[in-house]
Amino acid sequence: MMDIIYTTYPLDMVLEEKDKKEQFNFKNINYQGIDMQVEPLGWNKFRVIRLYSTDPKDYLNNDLQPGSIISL
Amino acid sequence: MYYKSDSFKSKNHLIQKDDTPLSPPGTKEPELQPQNPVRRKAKANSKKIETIKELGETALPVNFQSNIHCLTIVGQVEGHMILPPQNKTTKYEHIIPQIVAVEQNPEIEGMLVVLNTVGGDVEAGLAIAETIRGLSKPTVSIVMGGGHSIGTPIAVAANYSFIAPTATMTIHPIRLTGLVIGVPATMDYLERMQDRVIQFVTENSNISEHDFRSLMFKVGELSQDIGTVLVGKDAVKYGLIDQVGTISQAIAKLKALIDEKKGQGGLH
Repeated sequence: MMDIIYTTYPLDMVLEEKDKKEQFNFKNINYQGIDMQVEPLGWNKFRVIRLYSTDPKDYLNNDLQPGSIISL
Repeated sequence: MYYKSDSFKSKNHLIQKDDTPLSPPGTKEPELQPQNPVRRKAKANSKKIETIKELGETALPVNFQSNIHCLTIVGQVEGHMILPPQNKTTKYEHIIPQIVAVEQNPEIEGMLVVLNTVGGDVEAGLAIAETIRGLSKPTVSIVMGGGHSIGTPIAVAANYSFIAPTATMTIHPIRLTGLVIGVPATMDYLERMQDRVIQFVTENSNISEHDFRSLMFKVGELSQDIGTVLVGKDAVKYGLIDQVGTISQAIAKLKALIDEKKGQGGLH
């Protein structure tokens, strides 16, 4: 099985492996029934990066705006 | 990864609990539970203060219910291979359960697909496009910014498609990525994969196969590649997209399609 990437982006930019220091440390979690991408900031503290929800209502929730800090 | 596809469980949950609308696909409790309950309580109390401190705002109640759900396809469409983290990606394992949940949830009557993608994995893109096409509820897509490469079949998969006047779509051939070994069968495989994309696009839009192929293999349009960039009304002119429009027109169209479907008695 092979992957075929069909994109306008230059392939070396897509597949470029950055230094470990520059890497983002994002996690996917489910919080209050919403799937989201977060950045762990310490013990039980996460910064919301983006939501994966399709419900427009979730995007109006102030507590879950990108950049908000959540605790589980 | 903490994400777990739990669409079947969530579907039942959504149907039984009609007082509180839930977002697809997850209805699960958070998986990461703090071990110390005392500390957890303290955290919960400090949360409001934290919001004010960190963001300078207070939480306002959200009184908004939408019968339209919005699916966004952004960045690279990620397939079987996890792309390096500098890529912003749309993952099919997120998108497909969400579409399944949209199909199952009686509260949702239509879906808007917003695209701003540079393309990505062919199989994952086609899987998303086929899932959108298979949806029984009305769907409207709108290309904002860009709907390039594998974004094209996703854009045309909806019942009706829009493109923003400034948005672009790049139509170009599928080419070797360097990841595959150049055996003779490879070219044939690539050709067939390309045919799948062409077939899907021509079946779901008004563009003819001849026109689409000639756009795909046009020389002199792109500086370092063969293919064509279609801006806004050009995509409509070739019949690829139905209409040039804005988000309000897309939502109005979706509402009209929902009403039409309701009139036929087709929607629940």
